[in-house]
Amino acid sequence: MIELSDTIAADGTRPWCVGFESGDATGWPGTDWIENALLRTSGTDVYHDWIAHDIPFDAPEVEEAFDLADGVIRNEDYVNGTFGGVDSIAVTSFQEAGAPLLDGGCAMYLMGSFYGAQFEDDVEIGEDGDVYGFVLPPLEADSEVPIMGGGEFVVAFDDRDEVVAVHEYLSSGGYANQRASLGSWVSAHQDLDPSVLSDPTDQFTAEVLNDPDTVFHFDGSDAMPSSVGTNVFWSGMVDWVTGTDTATVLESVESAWP
Amino acid sequence: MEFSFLDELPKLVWMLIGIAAFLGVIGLMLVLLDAPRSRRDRWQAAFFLGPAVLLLLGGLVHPVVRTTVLSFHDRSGDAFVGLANYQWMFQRPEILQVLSNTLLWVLFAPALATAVGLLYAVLIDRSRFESLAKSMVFMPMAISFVGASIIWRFVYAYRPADQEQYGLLNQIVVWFGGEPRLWLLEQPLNTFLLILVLIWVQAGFAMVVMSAAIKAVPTETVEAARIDGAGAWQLFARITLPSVWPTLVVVLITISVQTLKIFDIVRTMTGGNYGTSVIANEMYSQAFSQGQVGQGSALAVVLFVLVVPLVVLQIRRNRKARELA
Repeated sequence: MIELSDTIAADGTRPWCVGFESGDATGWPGTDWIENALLRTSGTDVYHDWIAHDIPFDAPEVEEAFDLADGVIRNEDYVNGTFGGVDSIAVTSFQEAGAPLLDGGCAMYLMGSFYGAQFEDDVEIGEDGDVYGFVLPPLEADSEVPIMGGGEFVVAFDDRDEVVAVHEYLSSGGYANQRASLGSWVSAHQDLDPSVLSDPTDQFTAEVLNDPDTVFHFDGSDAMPSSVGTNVFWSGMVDWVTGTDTATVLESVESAWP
Repeated sequence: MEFSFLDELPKLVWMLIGIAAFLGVIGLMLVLLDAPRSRRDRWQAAFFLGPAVLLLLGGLVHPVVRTTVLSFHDRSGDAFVGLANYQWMFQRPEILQVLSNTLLWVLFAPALATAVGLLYAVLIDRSRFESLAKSMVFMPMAISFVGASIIWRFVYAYRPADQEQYGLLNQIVVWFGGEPRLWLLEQPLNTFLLILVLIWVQAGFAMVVMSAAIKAVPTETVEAARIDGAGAWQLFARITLPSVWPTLVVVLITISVQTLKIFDIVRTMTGGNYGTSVIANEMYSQAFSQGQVGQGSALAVVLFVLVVPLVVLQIRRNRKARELA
C-alpha cells in the first residue's frame, strides 16, 4: 500500500485525500485511520483490549499504529489531494474530501461504505467505472484482512407485544431486503438478497460482509465511553493533524478516560 | 421506571429550598426597589404579575434551580459530588481555554460592534444618502447567526496557492501577493475572525440605536457649541458623546449579554474545534453530546452567574432613567 502510494506520489499526484471536518463531530474520520492501523499493526486482541481499556490508550502498540498512520496522513507527499497540506485535513469536510477522486486530484480515500451515496448520479461506480472501493489490505500479504465498521442498533424500551413484534420485524431478513432496496443501506444479514442492492458500493460491502472469512471489528471510537470516543479522541485527531505530537495526543486522550 | 415520591423527596426538598431562596431574593428586591404604595396597588400588581410570575417559575426559576443542583452531581445526575465539576472546569486546560475565549469575546465583540455602529452613525448623520447607507449596514441584522456564519465560512475558505481561491479573504491576500492561509486554524486569530462575524451582524443594531440617540441631541446645544467655535472633533467628544452616553451603555450591555451567550457562530463555523470553543458551546457539548450532565450544568451556572450582573446593571440603569423622567 505504501509502495503504491509512493508510486503515485512519484507521478506528482497526492495519493490520498483526507478530510476530518464534520461540524461538532470533527475528527471522527481520524479515529477510523487509527483503528484500521491498529488492527493491522497489533491485531485483534490488542484492538479489543484497547477499546475495553485493558491496555491504556497510550500503550506502545497504539503509538505504533499512530506512527503507521503518521507515515500516510501526516506525510506532505501523500496528502491532501487538492486541498493543501497536512493541516488542511482539519478543515476539509469528510463529504467534500473524496471529490478530487473524480478528477485525479487524489487516488485514494479512506471512508465508510456509505460514501458511495455522496457521488452524483452521473458518476459511474464500479471496477471499470470512475471510482470504486477496495478493502484496505493488511501489512503482510498473507495475513488476515480485518474489516472495521460501525452499525445501527435497534433498542426497545418496553417489552409490550407490539414493540417486540416491531423489534423482530426490524431484525428479519424481510426488513433488510426492503430497506436495502431503498438504497444507501447495507446489512450483514444472512438473508439479504444481493440483487436488491442498487448501489455498487453497497453490493461490494455486502459481498465483503458475507464472506465467511471476514472478521468484523466494531468501530473502536464508537465502542469507547462517549467522553473519549466521541470527544477527546476526535479533538485529539484534529490536534494531531494540525501539528501536535503523537505522545501529547495519546496522553491527553488517556487522561480523559472516565 | 416508576416515579416514587419518597425516592424523589430529597430532590424535591432541594428544589423547594432553591425556589424559596429565589423568591426571597426577588421579593426582597421588589420590596426594596419599588414598594407598592397602597393596598389597591398591591392587588393590582398581583393580578397583572400573576401569570408572568407563574410562567417565570416554570420556565426560568425551575430550570435555574435544577441546573444548579445538577452542577453538584455526577455525569448522570445521580450522585452528589460537591464542587468536583467546578474544580474540573478550572483545571482542565481545554476548559480554561474555553473560559479565556469567552473573555476575549466579551472584551472585544460588544466594544467593537458598538464603536463601529457609533462611528458609522456619526459619519452618515444628515448626509444625503443616510437612509441608503443605514440600510446597507442594517441588512446583516436580518440574517440569522447561522446564516451569517455560513457566509463567513466561505469568506475564510482556503485552497492551496496553486489553485483558484474561492474564499474572499484568501483571494484578497493572493491579489496582494501573499500566500493563502488556513484562517480558521490559526489560534488565537480564529477567535477574532469569529468575533468579526458578530460585529458584522450587530453593528447594524448599534448603528440604528445610536443614530436615533444622536438625532435626539437638542439642536440648540449643537448650535451653541458651533457659535462658541467648536470643531467637528470637539463637537463629537464634548457634545454628542456625553449626550448619547446612556444609550451607548444600553447598547453595550445588550450586546455583551448576547456575546456571553454566543453559541451559533462558534457551532456553525468551527464546531468549537481548533481552540475556538466558548462557554455556551462547551456547555451544550458536555451536557448533550457527551452525556456529562454535571459538567454541562456547572458551565451553565457559570454562564448564568456572568450574565446576571449585566442584567442587574441594565435594570438599575432603567430605574434611574425612570426616576429622572
